[in-house]
Amino acid sequence: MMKKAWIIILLLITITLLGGFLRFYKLTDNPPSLNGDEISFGYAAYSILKTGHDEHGKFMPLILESVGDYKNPVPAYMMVITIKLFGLTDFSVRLPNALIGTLTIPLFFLFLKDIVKNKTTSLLGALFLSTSSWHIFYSRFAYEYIPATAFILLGIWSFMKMWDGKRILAVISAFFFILTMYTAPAPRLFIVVFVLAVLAYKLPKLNKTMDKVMLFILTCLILALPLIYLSLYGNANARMGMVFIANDIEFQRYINLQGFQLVTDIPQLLFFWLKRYLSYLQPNFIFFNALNMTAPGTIGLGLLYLFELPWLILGVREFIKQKIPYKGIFAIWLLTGIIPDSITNNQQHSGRLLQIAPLVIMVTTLGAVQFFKSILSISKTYLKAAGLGIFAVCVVIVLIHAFLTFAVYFPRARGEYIDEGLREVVSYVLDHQNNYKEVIFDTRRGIEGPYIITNSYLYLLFYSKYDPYTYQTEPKIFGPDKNNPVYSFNKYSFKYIDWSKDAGKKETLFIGSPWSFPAEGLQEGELLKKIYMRNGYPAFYIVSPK
Amino acid sequence: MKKTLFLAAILIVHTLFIIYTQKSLYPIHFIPQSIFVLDMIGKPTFLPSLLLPLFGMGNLILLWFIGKCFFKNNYSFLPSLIYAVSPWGAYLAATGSYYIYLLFLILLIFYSLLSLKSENKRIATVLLVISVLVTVYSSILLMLLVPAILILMIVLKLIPLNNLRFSFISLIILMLPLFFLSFNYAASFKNTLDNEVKWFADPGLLNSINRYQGEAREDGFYYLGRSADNKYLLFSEYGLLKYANQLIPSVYFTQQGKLLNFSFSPPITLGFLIPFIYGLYQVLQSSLLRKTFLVSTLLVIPSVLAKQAVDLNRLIIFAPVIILITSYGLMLMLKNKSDKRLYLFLIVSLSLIIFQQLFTVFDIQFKEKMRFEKYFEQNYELEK
Repeated sequence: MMKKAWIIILLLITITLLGGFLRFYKLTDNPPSLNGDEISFGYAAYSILKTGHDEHGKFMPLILESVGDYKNPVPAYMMVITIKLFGLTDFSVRLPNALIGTLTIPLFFLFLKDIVKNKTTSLLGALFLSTSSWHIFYSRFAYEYIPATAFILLGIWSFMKMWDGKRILAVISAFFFILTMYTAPAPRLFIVVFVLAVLAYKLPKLNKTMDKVMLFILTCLILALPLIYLSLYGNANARMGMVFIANDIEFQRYINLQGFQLVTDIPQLLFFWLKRYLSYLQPNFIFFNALNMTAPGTIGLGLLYLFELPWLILGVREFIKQKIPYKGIFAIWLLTGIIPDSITNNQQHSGRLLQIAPLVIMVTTLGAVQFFKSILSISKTYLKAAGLGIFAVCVVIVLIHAFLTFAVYFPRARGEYIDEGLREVVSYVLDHQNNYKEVIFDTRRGIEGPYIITNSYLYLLFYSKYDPYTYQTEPKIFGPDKNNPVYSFNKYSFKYIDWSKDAGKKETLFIGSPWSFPAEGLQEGELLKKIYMRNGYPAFYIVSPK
Repeated sequence: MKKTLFLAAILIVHTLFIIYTQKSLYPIHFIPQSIFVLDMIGKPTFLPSLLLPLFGMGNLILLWFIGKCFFKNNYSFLPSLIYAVSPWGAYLAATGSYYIYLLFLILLIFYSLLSLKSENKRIATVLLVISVLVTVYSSILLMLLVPAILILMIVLKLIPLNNLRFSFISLIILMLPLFFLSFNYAASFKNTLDNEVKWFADPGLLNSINRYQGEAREDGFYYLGRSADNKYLLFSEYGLLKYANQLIPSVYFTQQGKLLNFSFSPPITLGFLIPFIYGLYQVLQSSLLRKTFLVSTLLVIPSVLAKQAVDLNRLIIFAPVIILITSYGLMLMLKNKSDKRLYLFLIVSLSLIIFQQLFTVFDIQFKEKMRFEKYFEQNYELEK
């Protein structure tokens, strides 16, 4: 008995180490660059560490104004610790997520063990989470939904146990739920809808557990007070307004056509939302392209690997058939977990769905167990071997594709969308800026044309380790022209480059995409350096007029 | 008498829906498609688009009879009622889709198969032979698909071979001219087939394979790239993806696939989704129904072979399966009203159906034409 327990522990450690390897290996090289959100969190954390204020001068903020999208603060506060330990580097920014992503594996094992009461199934579930492309991909970014997923798992687990357990579980559950709401935007809606739905579901039994429910609600209210205040009087809901489904391009251009009227077009919006909600079942999304790691129209990676398709189908059947505790709460978790992403105006976003990842992996695990049981129950050995062999070949092929997608295709296909090249640009600027009076960055980029807006000033602040106090206090200029917004501080300016006007500026360093400059209009010696992306396309030209 | 009147009422509702849609969308209609055999021998004729609403009504009547064979109770009207109020059939009939005619033939085959067990076995056999024959002479894809389905039904013992022996012999003899034509006009045959099978037409897929392999080679993973990302595997995965895409509920109950590529009307009203899921759950419990359902999914193949991810025009030949499952679920819900949860779901479903039906009628009147003008596609043309 004791020996078996040790084997389980050993296997769990091995699975966790495997998960850790997949999350930490070449963490700063792949994804090839910190993206806009990571750089923003990173510099805000650095600023808080050095001055107690974020880059906008807010003392210990509970909402980060950032670039006007009002980010949640927990990721930045986690980075404060790692930046203190390892300095302001790419690694410090990505470390918390990779670590939490790894630690979620044993946590998920314990959760599954508690639910299915079977250590082998729980180990299998832990293995699936540790090798899940969905979870690995986001763990390698400083992406707020990874810690949010861990907190949600803890919150829901203690919330489930609360109904038949101790009062303290109500407090623990409330704590993790509210912590999640400070960690990522989508859970703010999810937690509220989930809790209300569960309370409605538990309504007949509410009388018996009223004390725990009241304690839970009270703790939630106390902990969420600052957030409620910021939502009512601050800008905590700014992001929600920006991404609301009524602003969806497909809805506005092809369905509504005449501009959304709040009263008359509500049914139209409702049916559009229902369509969006149900489209999460699309196989294309689940198995091929949810992670958006490759170019549009190609086969990339989805929430699950393709070989998990039969496991998912069997898992749903097993979930319905088996006696699983808290089945109703699980169903509510799934149905409400999709809501936040479904009401946004972007295409489906697998990151915002991470909050249901533990549940999806649990169902897949149930299916996998049943799948192997069915294969192993085949009486004829050669058929059994053939079944397992064919399936193993499929698994290997899919995993090779997954490896290549992570290692080869993704860095090439998505580099420009995660601001690849700006690190090298800033490095060049820091080495040569003393020779110039002004440094001008074009805020637009893109291989083909100006379809991406970057916050290059954050990359400059981050990689130059720009003194936060200086940045908070020094004068800044905001250009009033909406068609060409200008932002300047110190000797740096961030605006659209217009070479017909800018070509005459001597002692100025220009950083822009190749199309920011005339194809053949640069004189000899003006083009100082080309910065290339991993796919071989030039990302930036560094130019100084003669 | 009462039932006949009810059928007439359903027919009127459907006809009014078609006329209403036709008026709202006028002058949009499909580019007419010829019967492929006539195409092969160089005498293309078109099915007059006015005939198609009549086939639409024929579909409804056939669904009525199929419902009677299937349910054998007071709820047998459900399939025809669902068809009558669903925008899917009405839209395609109103715009002159050839697949409304093919749906009629599929329903006729299905009805004659169901009737094989009845007392009128001879009539059913003759009907089966005629309907299969007309089908295989009408569509090149169904020429391959319908025999495959019949054979699979025998292999899975859904129909005893004895019941089909005479039909098979007759069909083989009557299909001989078609085989001769195919050999004599091989180029035309191939052209027609190429026109129907367009899922390989997207150059993006082949490009992506070349790109993947090139990138893998650059990074020293040449053999890994070739083993996991070659054209055979990617096309198989793509085929599987397209097949699976046809089987998700949102295609049938929401506007995901877009009727005629521009519409916001769902093929079938969303409120029917709950009965469908309940019906499907019940269908999967029975071995016979499960097998029948699996065989019937072959009817999605014409849509799989289309250029788009889902082609609702071609997919309508699978609509009877969805409608029958929905009717089955709805019938069980109506029968078990005493179950509180089912009753609640029933109320939700019915409320949603009525609400969306009203909304759809309103939306067709005020928005659909504008959407078409905004999203004009070459599959459709405006009457000159």
